Amino acid sequence: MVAVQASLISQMRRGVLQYCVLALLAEEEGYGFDLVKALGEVEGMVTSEGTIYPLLSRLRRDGLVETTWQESPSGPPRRYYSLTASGREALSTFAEEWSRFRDGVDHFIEGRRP
Amino acid sequence: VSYDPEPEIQRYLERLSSATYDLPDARRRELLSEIEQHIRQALAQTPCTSRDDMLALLEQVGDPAEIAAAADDRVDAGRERRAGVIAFLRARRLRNVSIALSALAVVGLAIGSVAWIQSYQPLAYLDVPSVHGRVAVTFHRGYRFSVGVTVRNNGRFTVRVLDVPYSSGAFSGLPVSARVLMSRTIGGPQPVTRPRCHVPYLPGCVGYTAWPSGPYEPFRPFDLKPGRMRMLILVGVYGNCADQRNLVPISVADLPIRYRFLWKSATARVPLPKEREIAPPSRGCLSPIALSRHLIATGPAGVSRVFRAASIEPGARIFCAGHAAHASALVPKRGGSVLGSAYGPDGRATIHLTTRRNGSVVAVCMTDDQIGTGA
Repeated sequence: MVAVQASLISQMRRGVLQYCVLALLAEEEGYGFDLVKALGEVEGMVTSEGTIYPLLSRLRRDGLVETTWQESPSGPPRRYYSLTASGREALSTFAEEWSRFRDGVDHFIEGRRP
Repeated sequence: VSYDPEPEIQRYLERLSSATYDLPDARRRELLSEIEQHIRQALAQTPCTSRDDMLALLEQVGDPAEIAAAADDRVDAGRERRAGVIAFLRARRLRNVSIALSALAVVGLAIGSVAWIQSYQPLAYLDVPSVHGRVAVTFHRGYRFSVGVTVRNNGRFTVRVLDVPYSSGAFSGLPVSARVLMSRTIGGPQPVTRPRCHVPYLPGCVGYTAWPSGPYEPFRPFDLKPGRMRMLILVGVYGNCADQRNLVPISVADLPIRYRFLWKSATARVPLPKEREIAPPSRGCLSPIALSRHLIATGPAGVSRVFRAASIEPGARIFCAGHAAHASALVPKRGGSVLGSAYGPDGRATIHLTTRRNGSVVAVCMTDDQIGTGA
């Protein structure tokens, strides 16, 4: 039962994680470490910090985010991520769909509650 | 003692590098760099004082296999992650294909070059028209025959002409002894057809087409540049006239010419524009050594020649060849003179020999033309 639950959470995370990243970048640009730490503050969102970096790379290849190198006060230059117009559009579309989907799910779950 | 986390970091990065071996190189380098930077930033925020702390930090970063799976687009698309050699090759498809194609191109070029060099044969016969149109070279009794080609390099590269191995060609197995001569100049004047040629079997008058530069010299290997030409002449005699069974007509369709291009040495059979037949003597012949040394080359204007004292002995026979008759005389003793004449149906030839006191011999050869004109 625990394994099934873990798989379920993993699948849900896989579906929404990239939009959480886009949402984090909607306000301001950020670099990998900060994004990982921000996502890690929500339980269940990040199991392995390192897996965020392949996700960021994929978002960049898909044109949803863009990167710039900026000097760091300590250490080597950092790669900062920011949303592109496509990224904003994708985030907006997902937000609407997510809202409808979440309400639908809530409707069934709350309707069955005793 | 302060804890040094560097070994654990390197071990972790090596594991991650191994786990991501099937990723394209650029993505793999980028991922490794970002993960390393992440670890160092985490360390800067929360320094590890022990190996356990470091292992906990790395556990938080994640299992390398899990990160590698997250970086694999196929996993993201819900498919199985590839592994093994095929995955490795697929990940580097472009690079491998280009390397393979380059290697194939290099190998192909190498093979093609070797094959081309092996087949490179630029030597050709320069086709010079003959006014007489005669193609038979008659081997007159006791005299030399000559047959030659003007070899031209029709290729783009210089080749070195090494030899004319005539004994491996049409003359194979025949009692023929010959010398190879070559024109003294390469290229330059073109071979021209003489309007009249009295002695067809002498150098400079092969097939009644002559090389205008005149003198010939013994063959030695030479470089023949593209577009250049040189005349090669084979002057020979029957070396064993006692064996009459071998005295058969010889058909010469080509001449073998050995050449070298780069590492390749080969023999080109340079075809003659017309097959030539060398007729054998009907009544024996003379020593090829004597013939090759003591025949005076005559032409329309006549020839006188001085033999040095050491080069000829009294009693040796010297010939004077005209187109109508061939005269000969024996070399007299010192201070003596001798005259020899021969008559043919169309004229005569005369030779006059004088042996000086110092042993040298002066030979003057006149054919019927000169005698008739009082030359």
